[in-house]
Amino acid sequence: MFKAGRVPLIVTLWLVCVALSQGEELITDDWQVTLQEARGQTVYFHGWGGSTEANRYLRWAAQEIQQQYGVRLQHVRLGDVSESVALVRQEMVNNQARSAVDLIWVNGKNFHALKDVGALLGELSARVPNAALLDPEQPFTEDFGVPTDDYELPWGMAQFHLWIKNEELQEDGAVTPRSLLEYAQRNPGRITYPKPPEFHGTTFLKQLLLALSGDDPRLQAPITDEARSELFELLFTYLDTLHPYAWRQGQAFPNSAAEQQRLMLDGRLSMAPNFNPAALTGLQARGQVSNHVRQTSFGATAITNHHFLAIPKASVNQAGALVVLNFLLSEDAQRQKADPQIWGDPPVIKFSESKDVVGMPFPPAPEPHVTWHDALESAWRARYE
Amino acid sequence: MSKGAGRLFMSGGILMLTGLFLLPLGLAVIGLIPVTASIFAADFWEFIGEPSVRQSLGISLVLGVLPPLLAGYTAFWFLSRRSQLPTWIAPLLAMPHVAFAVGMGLLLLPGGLASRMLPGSWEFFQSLFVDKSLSFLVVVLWLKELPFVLLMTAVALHSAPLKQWRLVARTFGYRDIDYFWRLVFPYLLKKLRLPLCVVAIYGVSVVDVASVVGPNTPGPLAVRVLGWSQEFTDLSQQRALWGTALLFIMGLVTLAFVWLHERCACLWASRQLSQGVPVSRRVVHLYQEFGRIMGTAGVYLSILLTGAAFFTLILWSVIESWPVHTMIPQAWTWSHWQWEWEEVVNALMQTGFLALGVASGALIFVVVALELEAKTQRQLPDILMLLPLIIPQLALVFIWQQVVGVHSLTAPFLWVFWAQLIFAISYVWLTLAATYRRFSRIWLLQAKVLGYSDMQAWVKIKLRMLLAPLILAWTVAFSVSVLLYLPTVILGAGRVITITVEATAYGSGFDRSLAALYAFAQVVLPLVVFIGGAWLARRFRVEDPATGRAEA
Repeated sequence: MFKAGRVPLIVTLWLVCVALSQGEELITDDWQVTLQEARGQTVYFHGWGGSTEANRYLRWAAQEIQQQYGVRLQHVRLGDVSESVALVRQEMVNNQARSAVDLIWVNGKNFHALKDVGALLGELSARVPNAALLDPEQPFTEDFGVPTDDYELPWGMAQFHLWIKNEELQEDGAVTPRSLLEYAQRNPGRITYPKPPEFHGTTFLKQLLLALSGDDPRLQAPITDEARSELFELLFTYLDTLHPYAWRQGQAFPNSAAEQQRLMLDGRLSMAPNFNPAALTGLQARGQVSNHVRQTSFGATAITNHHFLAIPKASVNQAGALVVLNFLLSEDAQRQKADPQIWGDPPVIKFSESKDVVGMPFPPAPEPHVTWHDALESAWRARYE
Repeated sequence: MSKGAGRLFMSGGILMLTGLFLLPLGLAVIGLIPVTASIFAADFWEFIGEPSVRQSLGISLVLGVLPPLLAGYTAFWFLSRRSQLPTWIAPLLAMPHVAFAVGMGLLLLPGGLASRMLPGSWEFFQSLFVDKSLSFLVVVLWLKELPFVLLMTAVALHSAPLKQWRLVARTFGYRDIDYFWRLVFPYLLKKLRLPLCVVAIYGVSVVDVASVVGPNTPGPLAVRVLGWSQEFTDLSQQRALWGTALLFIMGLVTLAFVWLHERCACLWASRQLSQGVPVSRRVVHLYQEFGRIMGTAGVYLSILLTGAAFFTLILWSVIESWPVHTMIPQAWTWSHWQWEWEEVVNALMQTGFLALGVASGALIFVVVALELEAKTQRQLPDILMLLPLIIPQLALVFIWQQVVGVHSLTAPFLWVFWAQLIFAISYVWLTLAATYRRFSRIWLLQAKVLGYSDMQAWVKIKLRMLLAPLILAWTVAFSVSVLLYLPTVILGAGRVITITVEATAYGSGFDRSLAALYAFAQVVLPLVVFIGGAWLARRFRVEDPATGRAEA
């Protein structure tokens, strides 16, 4: 694609950049325009509204953003963010020039669904100055195996693990498929997982597959018929053995991780999945979770991924959305977010001085290739739904 | 009313009826045609052939058939031996379905309030109530729909000339119980046709309650349709379409069932009446006893559990921690309320103003439509007015969104208002139409003889005499507006944030205290309105000399 005729142009551009001194002012000028345009706008930020910590954190953010930039942040809390994803997709079908959503909290299938139909604003890292602060060591260029292509920026990080109430569940410091099954056989009805395709449920299956197969490298490549039949055999033989000892004998499953966590706190289950490793400390400090609960990985490694922010191409308050996004990636905001007393969501940027930063407690495992995700879900549903 | 004004009223009313109500619904029906036509594709039969899809269909059918039957018969059994309802029935309607389900779960399931407070009862509750099962879901729907059906039954009974009927029956030598089942029962079934249809349709289309306490391997069809629609692959989108069509058809099937049941029951009653053969005393006695127990138990359970669910919500909203297997909470706190106060008040204000507008708008609309009926001597088909409750809500809202599209941003409140209005109109129609139509013109004629003008007669006589049912209809519309979720979120473009939107979000989370707090806040407005409405209706009660009873 590189054409010799373009060289002079590129050189000129480079010279212009240098001439504008360190290239920074170019961004700053654009950014000044954005800031000016954003003043007075109201940004409608759609996201899942079930997390009290996230909701209160965003309340703090809204005050700061109002004060610093004169932008009003309206958090639109939803029972399930896919309602807004469906709305934006419908807007695309309608060819609507103005979207109801300015900023949206997504990852995984919801991001794919928006990216697929071309609904998202691209080149985000060039539009948001604080994107430069993002920690280059974190693998956020992919979201559940699909390249983000700069259509979303990471907001926080997550690592799959289990809350357990009983040490017997562990062997060698982690819950393993074997220890889980043995525990279930001794204590019928105390083990379960959220019903796939709920993403904690699907991740539970992926984690199980990783552990059962000893981190089979084929899981990182597109799925093949051979790998599928071999590895699914392992997985479903295990689940077929586990389910009779599971909660409700595997005849029903919790609808979400939140529901399973409540069941656990009611003393009806011994374990529940969770994705935010820093949340437990805060919940225990506030007395919402008993001090007997501890967290542990499921298998030797823990699937680690990110949650992201994206802006619909047709968003009406786009400048405002960029300002909000930029603020949420600032050191100040990321630090506040990482505080276990506030939210405890791990940061995605490198702090200037790295004191008391929340790290990831378990050795990270990458997500299996995205083709496994769909295959797992449909195989599970065909078998157990 | 002068002739010109009359004509103006007629054309204005017809314009309003068509423009606000019939047109958007017609549009939706046209939008549904290609969806429904998709069932003629070959893959559709493959889809239906899947065991899990058939199972979902079966569950939905049970949900469409059992709750209306159970609620209907419980109400009949209860009212066959009483003439009065307990006064607190109307406020029970204020409890949203999902809050009731959550409350029932918090109360009855193992680990809930009851099993915590009654030591040693854990096993008992575990064996009685199975989490995420069809049986528990049916019990929840039965007890939740019961107050509504009771109220509708009471309204129907109030307008029947019961005294004369009883007198006639006694002269022919019938016992009171025979008289009820052979004379009143068929009459009630006819009067309750629409309310029972609404309960049936609700059972088929319920999503929130079903996902809180219902089975999920697989779940009812409506829950799965929502799931498919949120998955965004071509296959699941196709399934969502087929599912929507199936839901629509299932709705029609359950309606047919309600109608068929009514026909069979009426036939049975009329045969009993004409033959006059008394069933054996023993059977009658057994049936009577069973009915007495079921009727009383059902109604008082419903009242008790609604009250307890409400209390549970308040309790949880001030609990800081409550370790399992302890009888009472360990620590209490007001901090949830302090944190959320501002948000709750804001949401309540928006919700309240919207609901005031919607309820009043719907009431005016329906009264105008009913006056048009009276003037033209032609009845609007009920099924038409109840269409919004029969078409699956998700499909309806997305079809509207396609049309409203970008304009939802310019006037979000207006669109939400309009969408809510359509649903509220159906409910007002349901509660009001029968009573309103029965109003005898003789009163108006007499008033005119006494020198009142048309308008004066209408306001001073008709409005005054129908005040109680009008108030009831308004309060029902008010709570419908408060509780609508999908139309508010989708057509409001996230600009209209009602308390139900907030409660749904917090309900999906882990924090039980906040879920309870918002669920409580959601109940407050309808509760106040229902209690106020009940008081007003009592205060302005007018005796109807024709039946010797007070209107509603």
